[in-house]
Amino acid sequence: MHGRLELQSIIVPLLAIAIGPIVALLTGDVYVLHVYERALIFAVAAASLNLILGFGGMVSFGHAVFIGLGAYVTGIMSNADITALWFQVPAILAVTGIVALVMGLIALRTTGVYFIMITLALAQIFYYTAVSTSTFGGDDGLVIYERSTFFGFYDPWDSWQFYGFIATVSLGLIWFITAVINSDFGLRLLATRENPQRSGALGMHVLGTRLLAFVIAGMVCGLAGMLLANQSEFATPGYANWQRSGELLAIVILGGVGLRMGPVYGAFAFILVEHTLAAYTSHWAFYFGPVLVLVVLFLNRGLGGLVDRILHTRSTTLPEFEEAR
Amino acid sequence: MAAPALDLNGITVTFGGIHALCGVDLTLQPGQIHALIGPNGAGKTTLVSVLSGELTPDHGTVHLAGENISDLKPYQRARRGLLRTYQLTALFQHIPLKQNILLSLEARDRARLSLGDLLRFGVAKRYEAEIAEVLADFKLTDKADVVPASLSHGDRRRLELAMAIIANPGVLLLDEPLAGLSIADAAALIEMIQTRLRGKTPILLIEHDMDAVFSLADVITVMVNGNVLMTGSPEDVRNSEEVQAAYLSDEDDF
Amino acid sequence: MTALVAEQILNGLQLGILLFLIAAGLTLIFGVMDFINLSHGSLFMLGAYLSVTFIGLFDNFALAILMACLSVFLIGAIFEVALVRRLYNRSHLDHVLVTFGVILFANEAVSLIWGSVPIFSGLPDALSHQISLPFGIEYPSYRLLVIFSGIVLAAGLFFLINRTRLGMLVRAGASNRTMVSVLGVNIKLLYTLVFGLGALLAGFAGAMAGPLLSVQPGMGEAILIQSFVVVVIGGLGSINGALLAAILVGLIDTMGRAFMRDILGFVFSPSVASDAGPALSSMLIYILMVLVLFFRPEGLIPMQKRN
Repeated sequence: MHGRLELQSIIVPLLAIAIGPIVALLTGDVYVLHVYERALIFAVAAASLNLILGFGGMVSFGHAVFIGLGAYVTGIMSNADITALWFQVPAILAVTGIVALVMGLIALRTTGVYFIMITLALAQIFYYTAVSTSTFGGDDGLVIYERSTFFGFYDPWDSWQFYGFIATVSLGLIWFITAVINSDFGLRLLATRENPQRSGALGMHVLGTRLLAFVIAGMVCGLAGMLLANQSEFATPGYANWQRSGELLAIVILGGVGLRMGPVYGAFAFILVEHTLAAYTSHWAFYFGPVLVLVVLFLNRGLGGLVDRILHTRSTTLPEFEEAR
Repeated sequence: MAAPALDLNGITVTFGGIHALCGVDLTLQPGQIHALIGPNGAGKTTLVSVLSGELTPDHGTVHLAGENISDLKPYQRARRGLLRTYQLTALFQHIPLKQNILLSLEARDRARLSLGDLLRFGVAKRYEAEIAEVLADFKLTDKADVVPASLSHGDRRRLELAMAIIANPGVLLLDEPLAGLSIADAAALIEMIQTRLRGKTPILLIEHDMDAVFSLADVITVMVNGNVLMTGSPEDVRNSEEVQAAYLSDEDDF
Repeated sequence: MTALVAEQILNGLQLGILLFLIAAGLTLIFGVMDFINLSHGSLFMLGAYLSVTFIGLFDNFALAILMACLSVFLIGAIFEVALVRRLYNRSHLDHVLVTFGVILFANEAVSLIWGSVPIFSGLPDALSHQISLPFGIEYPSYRLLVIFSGIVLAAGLFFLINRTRLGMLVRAGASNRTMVSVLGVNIKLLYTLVFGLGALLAGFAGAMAGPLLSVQPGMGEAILIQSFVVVVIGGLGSINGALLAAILVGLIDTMGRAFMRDILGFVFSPSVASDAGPALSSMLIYILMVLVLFFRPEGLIPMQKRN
């Protein structure tokens, strides 16, 4: 935004990928890497949502559909022995890009509550398709037998090397989203949210700007789905259902909507809390629901805002969240 | 003779059976400041919305420098150099001042949305010197990082006009630029229009402040009830009995 | 064949009535308070659970339904006073997140209280037989009761909205919010009542649907999303639109599920038809929504413009 990257945007993702291995080494428990892999994957998905939500003002309640799409494309290709990322990634980008384009063209005709309900409903279409397509496992989901490969560069079945793969891709994608936000395009996206009428009067194509952001967010989230499919060796319609979309929104809010690093804080908090509570109770959502309510009511700017207040890094130029009109 | 900067022909707009504009003709010549006056409800703002493309008329055409732009969308008209300001200041309220100006500079350079823009960082840097210049010019340097939402009304008006001026428009539509300003701020703004825009940028000015209108305008068009009552020099308009009658029936305006 | 089609039409009507009861509450709350309530489905679920419990307690079906409705009305009103009214000045995003949190909480609370195993509540004997209708149609009496009582309640709602002072305030509030407060109305009370009314409608729908569905945690969510579709198709904030759209959606969804496979079977091979049939039939209402949005973005019967 200011022609320079904020220091936080560089350091926080690096810390995020380092924390898992540190904990694993300290506890001598390689299994904990799985938890941090999930946290990174959800950080990527939430970061992509934060682009359109926090900076474009688009409250999408169907963003998890792209996780589902990415996971299914990965699973279907891997099970057909096409495991090379070289083939998988372009396929995922194409599929999620096209779906995002169509979904965006329909949903972006509207704003506000309509937009929320329509993204929710459109995402359900994919969900029902996946549930009733028996070829790909239907309701039971699709077990994935092969993980993605990259020219034999790493061994996907070695815990450390696989973590390295997840961490590298996540780091790249989080930085990519940050770069988009900081770019000229990011400023225009913010401008269309702030004042669509004036943006048009200045010669910006409001719908086009929003649509492009929606497509970028969908594609990046699709890659998060690819990571999730590899990590869980499974693709299920459940990845794309509306609770997942709600969770993604919750993660963004928990971390601080419209803060560049908010999704990273949010995803780590969410996954770690879920993991910890799940060890004690299967009703962990019983506690998480009220926590979410309290965060929305009282914690302005979420955890990221808290960090900024402690470190005094909060930039004065940060726009408050506003819904696109 | 060059084509008129802006040429309106038979613009008609109806809202649910009521004629807001009935067949309005108006021609803005290059380099002129053309004021549009009339009592409340005469259809001035409706006309501006038609011009900027935010409202589609039932009938009539709009030509910009000889080109028919009747079917173009607002952003397309803006890219051809037709810029408007708003009655209520409509800046990007929560984006810092210097970036507001950056967006205007981009509009001037007609920077398109291209994939290359996605990861371009140098933009702010490229414009840095120019932004600083503009800020100094309009006495806003110390407010570079402030968001317009926390500016005073006078500052906001000045920024609004600054953004319009630096975008170097082919035609500028000023919708009540002086509304709500103190006498001093209004005088400063009039001065700005006189020194920076007169003779260069053709302006369609809509304003209630008659002193400002008569001191700025080369030509005045008077509208009443969606019709053009007369078009003429400030002298002609001042002496017209018809105009006085129209205004006397709606005294609140003076 | 005619009897089969007629039976499915009745089923569609019954689904439409249930959808209307839920969508009416959603759209009313949105129209008057500009509030989007995702947890409306939880009120539906609560209605179903409470009716099961009250049937066990009183052994009187009508009384149990009545008690369930009143309880959900009260719970809705308390929910509005305690939480929802803090959110009216917030963004829709905050509405969505808070009510999403409430859904998570409600689902788990329900499974803690009643267990997570689906409950099948029996029908009272008097209502568990078939009724012979004209044209040789045999139809379960309970489903007829659902249709009939739903129509009565819908009629009552229209009477309330169009003929009473409360309804007048609701309509005024939906079209111009500031005006209502100028009229010297206790706006807070009005909002609580409207929210409670919406809850009551959802609770009634849940109570009546209980014996037709399996009562389980999360049961309100599928029907909530369908209700969203209804609200969008009908026009946000419009009760008339909700009625029209609910009947449309109910009929299309039911007919699609009943006949889509056979219709596809005329054109495609049986295996394709049996795979695509269910997928396509569950998508029909969303396709309808997209079409409506494309041609009438404001919905079929838009609410009057607010100032």
